[in-house]
Amino acid sequence: MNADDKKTSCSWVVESIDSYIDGDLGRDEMAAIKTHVNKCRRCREELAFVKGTLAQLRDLPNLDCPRRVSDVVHERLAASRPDQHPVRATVPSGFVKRWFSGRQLGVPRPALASALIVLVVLSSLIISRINRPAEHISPEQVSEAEAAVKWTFAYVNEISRRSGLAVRDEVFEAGVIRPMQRAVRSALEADTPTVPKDNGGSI
Amino acid sequence: MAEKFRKVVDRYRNSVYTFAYYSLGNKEEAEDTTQEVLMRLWRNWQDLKTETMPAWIRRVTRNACIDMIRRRRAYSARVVASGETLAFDHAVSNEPDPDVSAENSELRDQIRRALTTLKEPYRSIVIFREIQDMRYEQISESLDLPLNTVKSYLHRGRRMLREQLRETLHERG
Repeated sequence: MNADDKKTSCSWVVESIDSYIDGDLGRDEMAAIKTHVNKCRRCREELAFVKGTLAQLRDLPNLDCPRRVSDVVHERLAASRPDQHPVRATVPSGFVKRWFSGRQLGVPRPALASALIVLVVLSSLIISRINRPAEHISPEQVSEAEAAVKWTFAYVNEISRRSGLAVRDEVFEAGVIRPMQRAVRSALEADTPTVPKDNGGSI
Repeated sequence: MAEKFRKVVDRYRNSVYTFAYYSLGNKEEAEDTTQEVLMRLWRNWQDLKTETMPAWIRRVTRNACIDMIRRRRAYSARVVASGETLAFDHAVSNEPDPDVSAENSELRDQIRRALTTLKEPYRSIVIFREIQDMRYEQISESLDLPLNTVKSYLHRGRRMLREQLRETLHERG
């Protein structure tokens, strides 16, 4: 098959159809395809199919992004100081690094520090209340302590959400969960009547 | 700086969302991906130059879509491995295209679905060129591919899309 024969074959036309539509071929090749298509029904149908699908593809609309998507980003921005770059301005100090994991995005240190202070103060308060003998804890105090715990966790969660940081598990574990477990265990043990050990009468 | 960032977001969010939607075929994932791209833009704000920003945004958008597809596949694999049934379909949405008239909507819907089946970089090039009407130079810069490669990949991508469409049309009789 010489070059001219090749240019009149259906396979060559189908192969070159996208370049033909985009006008990327030389003048002779464009003319050869046009002539072939006028004579060949199959290639004419193929060209119509290609042009039709391309027209539909090009007609797919450009879409409007829902406003809420960028609003979330702007809200995060608003939480940071507008004159400072979020990453550079709030590079976590050693203290924050020890307490938080993840990358800090936009919450200034005072907010993080206050979250930690609230966490520590409330935890101590709750622990000290649980540590009292069971008979001294009223139902109101229990509800109050529960509300304080919920509030503390919600506050820390909110700070974490806004800043893109998570309180380290080991910090929660060592600073809150384990002391609370110990306090609850000891309060329960204090409340449970135990059989005195027989020490054989000695003091 | 925040004001300038806001303007850039307003300028690019629709094109990021459009690309993500046609790449992923799913509105929720497109929204998440757009948000992710805008956050990455903010994180890199001080290091970006105005003249290279559009290409950077397109590149990051494409990468974020690829990441999303990988996560989707990993999730599906985990669900299949655990023998559970998918509670909801993470894949291509069955919803009709927004803003598309009833006329020709079926073919467009098939085209939209066929797009999501294309491999990279064909899918990205077809979306950039045919839907977002970008110049070859812009695509070449965004994907770090030579101009002629972009053109030949575009034609190959369009051919693959047609093959996929033919299969769908054949299955439907």
